Amino acid sequence: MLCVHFLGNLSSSIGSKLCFEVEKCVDLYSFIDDLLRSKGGALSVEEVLVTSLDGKPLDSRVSTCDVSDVVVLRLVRGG
Amino acid sequence: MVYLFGSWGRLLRVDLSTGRMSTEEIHPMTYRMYVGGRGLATYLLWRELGRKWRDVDPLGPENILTVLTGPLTGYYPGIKLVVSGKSPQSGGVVGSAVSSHVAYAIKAAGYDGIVVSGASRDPVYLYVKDDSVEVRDASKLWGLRGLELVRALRDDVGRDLPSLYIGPAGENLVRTAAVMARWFHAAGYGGYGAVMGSKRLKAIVVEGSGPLPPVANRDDFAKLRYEVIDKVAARTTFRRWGTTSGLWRVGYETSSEPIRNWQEEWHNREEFSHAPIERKHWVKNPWADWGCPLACMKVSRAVVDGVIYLTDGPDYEMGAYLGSNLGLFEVDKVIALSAIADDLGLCGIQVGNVVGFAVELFERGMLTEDDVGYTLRWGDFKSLKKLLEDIAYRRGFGAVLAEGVYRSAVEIAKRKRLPVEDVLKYAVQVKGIGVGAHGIRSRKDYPQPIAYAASVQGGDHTSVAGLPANSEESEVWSAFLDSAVICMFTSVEEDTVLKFLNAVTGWSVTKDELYGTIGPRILSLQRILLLLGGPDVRWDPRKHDDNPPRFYEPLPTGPYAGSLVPREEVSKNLVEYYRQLGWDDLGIPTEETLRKLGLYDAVDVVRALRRELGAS
Repeated sequence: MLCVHFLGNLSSSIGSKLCFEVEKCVDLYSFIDDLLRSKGGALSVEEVLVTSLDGKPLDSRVSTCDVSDVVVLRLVRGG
Repeated sequence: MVYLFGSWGRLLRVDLSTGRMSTEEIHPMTYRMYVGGRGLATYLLWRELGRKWRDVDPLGPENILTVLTGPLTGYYPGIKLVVSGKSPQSGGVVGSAVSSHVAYAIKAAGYDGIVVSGASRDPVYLYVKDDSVEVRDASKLWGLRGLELVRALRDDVGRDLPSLYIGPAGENLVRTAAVMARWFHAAGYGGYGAVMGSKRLKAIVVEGSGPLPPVANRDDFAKLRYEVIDKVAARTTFRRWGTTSGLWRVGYETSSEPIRNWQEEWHNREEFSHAPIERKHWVKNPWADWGCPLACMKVSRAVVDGVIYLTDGPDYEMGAYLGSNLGLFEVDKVIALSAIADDLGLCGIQVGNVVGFAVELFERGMLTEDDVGYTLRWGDFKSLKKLLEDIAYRRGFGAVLAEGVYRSAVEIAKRKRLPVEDVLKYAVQVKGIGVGAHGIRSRKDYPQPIAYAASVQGGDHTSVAGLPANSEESEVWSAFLDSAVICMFTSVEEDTVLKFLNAVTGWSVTKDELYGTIGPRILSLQRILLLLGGPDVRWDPRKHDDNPPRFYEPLPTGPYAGSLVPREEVSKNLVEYYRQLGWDDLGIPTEETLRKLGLYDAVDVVRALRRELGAS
């Protein structure tokens, strides 16, 4: 099970927490990217920060099998 | 002995009334408390003008103009500086960031920034070459537009040097005038182009040939710099499309783009997107300042009515405000309006905001041809172009709109003998500052419902408030980026940014310190000065800590039609946000907070402010 927690306005537009059954191990960033695009927030993973629950940024080499909870918040704002 | 790394601890001061030039040493502890950039500007303004703030005319010689770098200028990827002073828009302090090689040049000349006070009788420009500082005659430059000015400056100094300058709008004290750099870059929010104009200061040219100040920990710095470059360079979408892609994304997907003065926030006009701009108009892509690894800028070219126009992007804000907000969806004409705004030295956001407001009033019959001198219609390029020119030169009705959207609304209400609220309800602004092109109604974009209502910089989309106050959602983070000084597009996660800051400065700033003292200290001073306001504007938190009325109307079109922000939610979140910053229910810093932040000299000012507002 992988739970994705959203902070800030992402929580009101996507939900504060979404959980998924992990059927196969895939690159976490690709997973988050697909998730963001599917939710219509017009965001890509380049614009968010993915961290562990204690706020440590997660490396792009992490897979969906390596973690059970991740936090996503919008990093790039404005434009 | 307290050592300083990353900054020189020295400002160049120029008094244009007397011609006196000096350097001022800034104590290392001041940097530790305010960091630099926006924080240092706020400190300087508080120290020098705080006691007489209400009486200070932002366009009078008593105002000071600050052009400041931060400790990370020249080290952190990207290059920005922050222009500030008492804002002729809000009456408070706005940290207005702009990309410019001047930032690096200032540091290489041995300063952390330039502070200009007084006012010259005749037009001048400032030429700084390391220790040599000259106030030069600019009578031949006065009146020139951006592109011709840059050429003339190059001829005058003998080569192409980094400069900040104003166009005709700044000279004519237009409150929506920007401080410009390198043709298309603007420090737009705040209206500091008019402050430069009031000082008869046409340009600041800087040539620095020295090193940057030493860094505290070179090994950590070198490692972190590569780490940040890698992270920023990975933002390939940004590099490819810049912010121009927002014209489609923000309009079609997040439904938060201003359309016809925010009457709508959604469009499905495929011709109004980055794709046709890339295909037909980009002549340089990517484009970057000072080797920025993000390189989000582009140069576009369009020919309209036989005239060639060049501009950046147009970046999202310029495109939205001078395009969809004016009902103009033809990208070649949007590029033209963006180029005209650049050349006149107008902030595209603020002028697009006030022009959209005027067109809506015209369409509603609240303004007529007798008032304006000609017809205003959505998407009518010729009249929109003429209105930009009229604003910049304060011609006819343009002189009314040159006051910015808030003051224009007040003046129009007076002329039409209407209750001011009946006109202000069409002004999409907060505390005198037109709201940036990111709406809050769909909730799909980044600003929270209190983003603008609680911001110490009003409608500034680069400095939005948000909960929780101890996170990147908060205005604390923006204040910190503007103080360090880092471009918001090259910022990375706070851990790494703080490590970077500590490696350069030798400090040991933690997240707790950032969110608990440094950020709240800067915001608290900005908030106090904003509420003091004056001389012609005063903001009552109970009335003005709010969104523009339009944001409480449901979205009329698009996938989120019907969506709005409930007032109760805004009121509740405002109080919670203030509480988290150590402010009372009105958003006034408590005495306990001020003492904790070391702002002892603000205690009596706040006490008087609270008495005036009838707060206990």
